[in-house]
Amino acid sequence: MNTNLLSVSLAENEGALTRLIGLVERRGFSINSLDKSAPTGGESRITMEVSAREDARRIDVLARQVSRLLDVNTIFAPQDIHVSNSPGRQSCRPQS
Amino acid sequence: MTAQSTAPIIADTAPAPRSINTGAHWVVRTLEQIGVTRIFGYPGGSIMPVYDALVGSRLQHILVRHEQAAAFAADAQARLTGTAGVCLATSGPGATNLLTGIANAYMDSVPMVILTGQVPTSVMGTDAFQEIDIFGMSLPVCKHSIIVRDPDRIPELIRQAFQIAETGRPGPVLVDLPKDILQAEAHPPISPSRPKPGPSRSISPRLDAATALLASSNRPVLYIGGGVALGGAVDALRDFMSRTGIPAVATLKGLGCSHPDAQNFMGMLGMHGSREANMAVQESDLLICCGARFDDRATGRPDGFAPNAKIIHMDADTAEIGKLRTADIAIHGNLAAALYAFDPGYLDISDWRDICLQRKREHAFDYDAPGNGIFAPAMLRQLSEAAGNDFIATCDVGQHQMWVAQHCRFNTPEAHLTSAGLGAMGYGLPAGIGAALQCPNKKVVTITGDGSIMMNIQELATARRYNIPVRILLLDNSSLGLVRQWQEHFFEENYSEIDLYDNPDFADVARAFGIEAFTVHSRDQVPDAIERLLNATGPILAHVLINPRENVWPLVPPGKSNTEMMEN
Repeated sequence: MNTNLLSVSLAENEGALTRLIGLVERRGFSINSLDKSAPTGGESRITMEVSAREDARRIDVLARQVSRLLDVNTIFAPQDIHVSNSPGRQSCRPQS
Repeated sequence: MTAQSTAPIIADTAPAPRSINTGAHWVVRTLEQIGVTRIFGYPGGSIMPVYDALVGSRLQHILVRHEQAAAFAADAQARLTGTAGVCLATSGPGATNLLTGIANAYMDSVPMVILTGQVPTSVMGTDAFQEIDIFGMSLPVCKHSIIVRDPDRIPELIRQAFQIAETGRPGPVLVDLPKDILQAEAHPPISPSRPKPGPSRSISPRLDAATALLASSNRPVLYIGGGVALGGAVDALRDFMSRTGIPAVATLKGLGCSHPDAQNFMGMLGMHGSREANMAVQESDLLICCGARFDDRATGRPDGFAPNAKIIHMDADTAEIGKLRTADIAIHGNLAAALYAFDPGYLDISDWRDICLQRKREHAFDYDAPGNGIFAPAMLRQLSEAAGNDFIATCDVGQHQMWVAQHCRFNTPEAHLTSAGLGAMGYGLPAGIGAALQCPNKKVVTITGDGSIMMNIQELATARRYNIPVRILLLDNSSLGLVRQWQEHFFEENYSEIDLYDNPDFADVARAFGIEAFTVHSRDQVPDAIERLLNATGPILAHVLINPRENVWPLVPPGKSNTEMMEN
């Protein structure tokens, strides 16, 4: 399964985060992780790791759909991260 | 107090002077300043301050009988004017009743501004009476949504809503108005009205590559979608078709973009498309997609759609490029500018044109049907020919909708108002009301069925109240015909919940609303019925009884490619 990082700067408008997350989910991607910075100058940086639920859903199309949102000021190029051995997926349990 | 009461109510003491500077007054004033002349709505608790401010306003308010109809009527008006239609409802159920109409506008890229009342900000989030998070519910079906929390920002945010709704790819924008914001004194800064930005004239620099690809093509086809009309590119498209002679097909929303009599126009493609249109697409080696989005009703099985064609995808919305079919060349930007600049010179495609034209002749629809019963396709053909250039059809959803698309002639895309993307039964009558109010001198005909009309039949009262010249052609097959057709062919005739044998007499129903109505039983009555409908100056309903076994042909079965069409 291909997983990608999607990173945007988002205006701090009411509902902006909900709108962004809803769009990503609705367009057929699951959100594996989500990071939101504290707002600075009226905008915050959102970085999420997303996976397509269907092979046919393309990250470049999602990026363009995200860029249509009025709250999205900048979208940073989505990066492929093949996460089969991603540290983020490793168990955080102490190894016995 | 009833609506009929005219006796003035005399107060014991003089009322305190009422402010004309509340948020609600600024809502009304801003709409007037923007140039809105008509809004569709229904009052209720949270939106009452706006209704209070509407009294004495220049705005014409059309009182519908269900909020869904307000959204559909505003949608139809917007499709005819190209500017945002406006609808208004209260919080809670008023707002949720709008949602289907908002979704309809979203799916078909119709500019609309929706104003909803909301409970006061002090109780938002507490499950107050008639509190619903319409802002949250609207997010998936709106281009943008706004909650107004500062009365001084009302003019700015309403202007912004119109600007968003009407620019780029159009769509609905919701503005949620809490009651305390509407009642508060507002002193907004004076904002000079700025001219609206025109459509972008820029196009991406891929035309040279597209021209080279077209020049090397032997079997090109032009695939026309609703984006052509939205982008104001109808003239450019007709010019391109006439210059190049490329065979062209249209989606449901693309009908009317090509002149219907253009020799190289093959008709509608897709599930109920013509054989010549579907075969042209399937055999093409180059598909020029112009303002269309490879919708499943147009493509059938996606991997079987135009399997040998390269794709040039022209669209104003980059998010449509590559969504369902990879484009070999993407041209993003102003469609009219792109089409005028797209000049391949002489194309040696005469053999290909001959194949397409011969197929068009061979598969011309046969309007002869046995018996004396009314053959709906023939009646619709006669209706559109009789109405001519003044014809505006507003359709409901079902078999009649497909017959309209197949058999009526549309000289402009605005002549065909249909719920294309959402397929919302109940659209036809409210859309007819919106269209006839906007274009009272055109021949607006609502074509509906016995299933669809019941979804918004209460709007007969609206048509009567304002004496709106909407002509209703109700094709009654006493069933949910398109579902019945699918059950017949794809569910082994296991008919389930499609029989409407106990329909009321629709002519009687219309007369009970005070609307002229008549019933048409046989084919020989059709010419008089059409004349009577088209000559009406107020609302009128023709109840037309058709064969319950009549089907829509051709039909591409679900999951099949467009070459595998079933025919009668």
